[in-house]
Amino acid sequence: MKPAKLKIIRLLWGLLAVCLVWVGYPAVASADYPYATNYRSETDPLVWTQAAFAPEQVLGRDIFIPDPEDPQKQVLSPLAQPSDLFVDSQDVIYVADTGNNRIVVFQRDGTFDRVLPALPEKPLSSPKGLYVDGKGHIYVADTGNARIVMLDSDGKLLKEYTLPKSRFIPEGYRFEPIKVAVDKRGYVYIVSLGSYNGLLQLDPDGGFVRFFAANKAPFTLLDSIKRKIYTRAMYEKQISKLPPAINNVNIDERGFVYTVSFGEQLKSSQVKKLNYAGKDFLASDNSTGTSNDTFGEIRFAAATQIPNLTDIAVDRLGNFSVIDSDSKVISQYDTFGNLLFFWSGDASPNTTQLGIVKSPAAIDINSQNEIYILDNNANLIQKFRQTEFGALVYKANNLTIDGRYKEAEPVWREVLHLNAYYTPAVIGLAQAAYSRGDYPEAKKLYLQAGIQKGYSNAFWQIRLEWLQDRFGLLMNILIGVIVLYILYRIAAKRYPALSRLRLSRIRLTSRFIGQLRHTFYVLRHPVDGFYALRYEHKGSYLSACVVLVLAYISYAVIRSYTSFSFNAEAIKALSATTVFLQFFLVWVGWVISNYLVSSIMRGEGRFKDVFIGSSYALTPFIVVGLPLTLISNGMSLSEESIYQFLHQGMYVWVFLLLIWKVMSIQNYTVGETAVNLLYTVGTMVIIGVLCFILFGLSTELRSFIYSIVQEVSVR
Amino acid sequence: MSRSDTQVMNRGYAPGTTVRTKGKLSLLMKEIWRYRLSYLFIAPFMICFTFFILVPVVCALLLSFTSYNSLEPPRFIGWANFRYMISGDLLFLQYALPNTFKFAVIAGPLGYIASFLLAWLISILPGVWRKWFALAMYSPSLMGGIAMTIVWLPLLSGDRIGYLNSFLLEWGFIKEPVLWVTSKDHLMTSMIVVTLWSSMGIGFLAMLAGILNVNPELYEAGKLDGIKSRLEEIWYITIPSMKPQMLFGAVMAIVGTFKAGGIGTQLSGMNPTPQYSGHLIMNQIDDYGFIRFELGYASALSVFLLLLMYLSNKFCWRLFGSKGDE
Repeated sequence: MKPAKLKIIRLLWGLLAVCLVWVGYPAVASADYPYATNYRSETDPLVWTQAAFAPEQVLGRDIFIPDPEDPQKQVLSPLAQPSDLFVDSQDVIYVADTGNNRIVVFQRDGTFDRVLPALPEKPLSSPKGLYVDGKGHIYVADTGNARIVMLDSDGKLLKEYTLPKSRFIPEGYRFEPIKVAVDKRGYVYIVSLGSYNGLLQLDPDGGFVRFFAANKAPFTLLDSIKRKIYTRAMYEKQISKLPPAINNVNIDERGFVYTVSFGEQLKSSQVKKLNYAGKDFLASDNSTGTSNDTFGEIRFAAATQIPNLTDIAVDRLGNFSVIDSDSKVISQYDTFGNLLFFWSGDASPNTTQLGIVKSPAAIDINSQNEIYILDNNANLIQKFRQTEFGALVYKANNLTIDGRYKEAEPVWREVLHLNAYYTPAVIGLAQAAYSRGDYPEAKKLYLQAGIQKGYSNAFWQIRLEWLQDRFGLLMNILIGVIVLYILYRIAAKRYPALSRLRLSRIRLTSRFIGQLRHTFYVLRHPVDGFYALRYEHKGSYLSACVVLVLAYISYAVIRSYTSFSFNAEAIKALSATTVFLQFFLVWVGWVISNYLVSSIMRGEGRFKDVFIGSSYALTPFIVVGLPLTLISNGMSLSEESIYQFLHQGMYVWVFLLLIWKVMSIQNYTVGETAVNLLYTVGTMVIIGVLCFILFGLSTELRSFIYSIVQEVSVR
Repeated sequence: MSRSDTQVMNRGYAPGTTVRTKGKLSLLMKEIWRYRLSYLFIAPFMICFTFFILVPVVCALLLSFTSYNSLEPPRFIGWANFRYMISGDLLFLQYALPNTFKFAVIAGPLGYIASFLLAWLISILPGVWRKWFALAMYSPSLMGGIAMTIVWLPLLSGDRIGYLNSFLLEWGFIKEPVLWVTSKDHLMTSMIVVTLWSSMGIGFLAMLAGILNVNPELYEAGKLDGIKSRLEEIWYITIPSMKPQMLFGAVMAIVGTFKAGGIGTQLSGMNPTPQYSGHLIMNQIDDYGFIRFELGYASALSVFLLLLMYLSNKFCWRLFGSKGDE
């Protein structure tokens, strides 16, 4: 065959192969949603996941009502600035159509059902909230009329709640009900616009019970100082400190009351989950609370941006979703407040797109885990259903929460198969492995997920098993060593030559070795040791550099090899340059500023002495740090107090050595030393700031020169 | 012939001389007889020491290798007790040991430093006051139990009326009363605080005596040599000249913290403490010794505690013990 023909055939084969590959791997991107879904964990600030919910349907385009002029004809009457949405236990959807002063009902499949008839004596006036209880009674927050009305399912007025008379309600309390919720006993919880007193709780007959779930006014140290030193007139000019107001309220099937709050300084507890006694189950500061108490995620948050949560939806199992009306992010948490997903997409102001909510006003979820979000800008309702991925995660997480780890395991495995970066799946698998006794596996998974406590517990179990297996052997070795030692002592007594052997180790009497050995003398007798460094030539630049390098190596080893139980950094990719810079910048800064300050303050030390002394003072890193790092890998969190004691002791020791160094080398008194240290730290800060500015400016200058060169050369 | 005898003998004679064993023994007897009056003088102490300290400790050591329930005769079981302790007793491994370490590591050094500082402060006071302040500081360790019920329990009471809670609530530091002594999160802290308060015991008195004993001429000499501040005085003169008392204080602090046990149950009013948060080795010993009557295992635990104390004392000797050449 001719080579050219061969070539063509080969080309054809190649093309075929490419086609086959193409068929074998269809486009990886699945259904294209107009928003991105994320997860965030301790170890990874942003994980991209598959969508947990998919947009399905838009509701509210088919509202036809009899034409008021011609009752025979049907006219389109869209929603107008609706503000609340509620899905009842039969999955029927109710919307508070604020602009049209009416309540609109949709059937469970999303088609328009009816508009509740207007109340004959006093029609609704911009109703902003509504709630439907288990018996089908509809409670409407009739904002314009400052009342709550209770209707039956046909819209007939049953009861009316207005602001009750009570001496506990402050003078000038503005009652402007915007949201309402009702518990199983018939007690009514009312959110009044901007009220910082908390929820107004009324009994079923409309009597005042209490203010419930009020937030705490933010109060900082600065405020307390202000309060101390300001005069009354000055203090009154300050912006008054008010507790964050509650935005919304919801009650789940188990009777927990959820509040959603917003305030300028509200950094945590945006969502509260309260029992009847008012105890928050999502707070980190009480015994019933959980670890996570900040809610409302923002994908790339600006420094001042805080979530403005407006509504919360709780599903049957206690998982809840909140919407943020500023950033339009929907965040989902499980019943303990652990994040599951958050998602948001960019809205264009002109077009309406399925899946993009321009201005979310309310959210609710039905029994099929379908989410409805009310858009008060587009005047529509968007419906989302769980994707396969979302359903799997929910199922697995609910099983894990119930403690059915074994059943959850295959589901988590499937989740992990779909998304290898989804940390809750790893945690779930780790819990499963731990509960079935596979501790090495659990340890590995906890390490991967970055859970220190779980890792430590698994390690504890492994260590226990190890000890149990080898106890006899270890004890025999111990006894053997002790017996050998005693024998040695007896023998040494008989034959003194033996003990002399130990003493007469090979002595290297070189000057350099002596200088290195001096570090140990410094450790035991810091004052004399540093004095000797200054006046007796016990150190040199070479020995100081050796000690310094050793200390740096130890420091790096401590940072990267300490057991994960104590060192969350162990799993992060620690860049060697960062550690290097951190260590040496601080050290060089210290040496320079200490020398400068001391020479001004009539210290007696030369630069050489400061250099050598400062590096010798780092010896505890080598002497304590290295063994501690080694030991830490055999420790679990139950020995944390020992570890912390030694770890902090090491730093305290270094600090004390530095103090002694300044004192002895510069020949200072205690008071002078303290002043010197203070100035040194100040100088270090100034040097740091100057370096920062210089660096920033030089970068600017460089780019400036570069652009000039570009200008000249290109033109 | 025991080893100690040979040692005694060797001390008297040049090492390496080979004397027959029989001869050694008779020589020893002669030696003892020669100093019979001295032996008579130390006899009261030695007898008490042997019967009330040495024998019980040796018994505990022996019992720790047996299974013994105080009714049947002890049965030798070898290492089994220790094996169970290190690898099977989850209560001990998960709670008693970590809690004891935490308690000792925090309460020991802090109490020690506090006793030194207080002793020093009191030593500055004029003579009339000194006595009374020393007494006041010493009294908590004397009447721990009474003071506990009068002072600490109302102070740390977990309801709204407890002094600490009502104060914190009033000042807005907390929103709801904190269970200082009955919750697992706070019990340990309360225990440490109360222990610190009552840690001004014998060690404190010894240190006070040590400070007062420092030769005043030394301070004068120091001043002439250029000591300018009180701090330097402490560092260069006071501490070096009271090393024995410092050592004694350290040993007492260690022993005190390791053998503290009742405080958790006293404070919380429960035994065992809530979720074992205040469970120390001493509680574990009590539990096995006097509730379960597994005296063999309880002895093993005590032996372990003894070992722990011994090692930490060794450490203290290293730190504070004056070496011969200094």
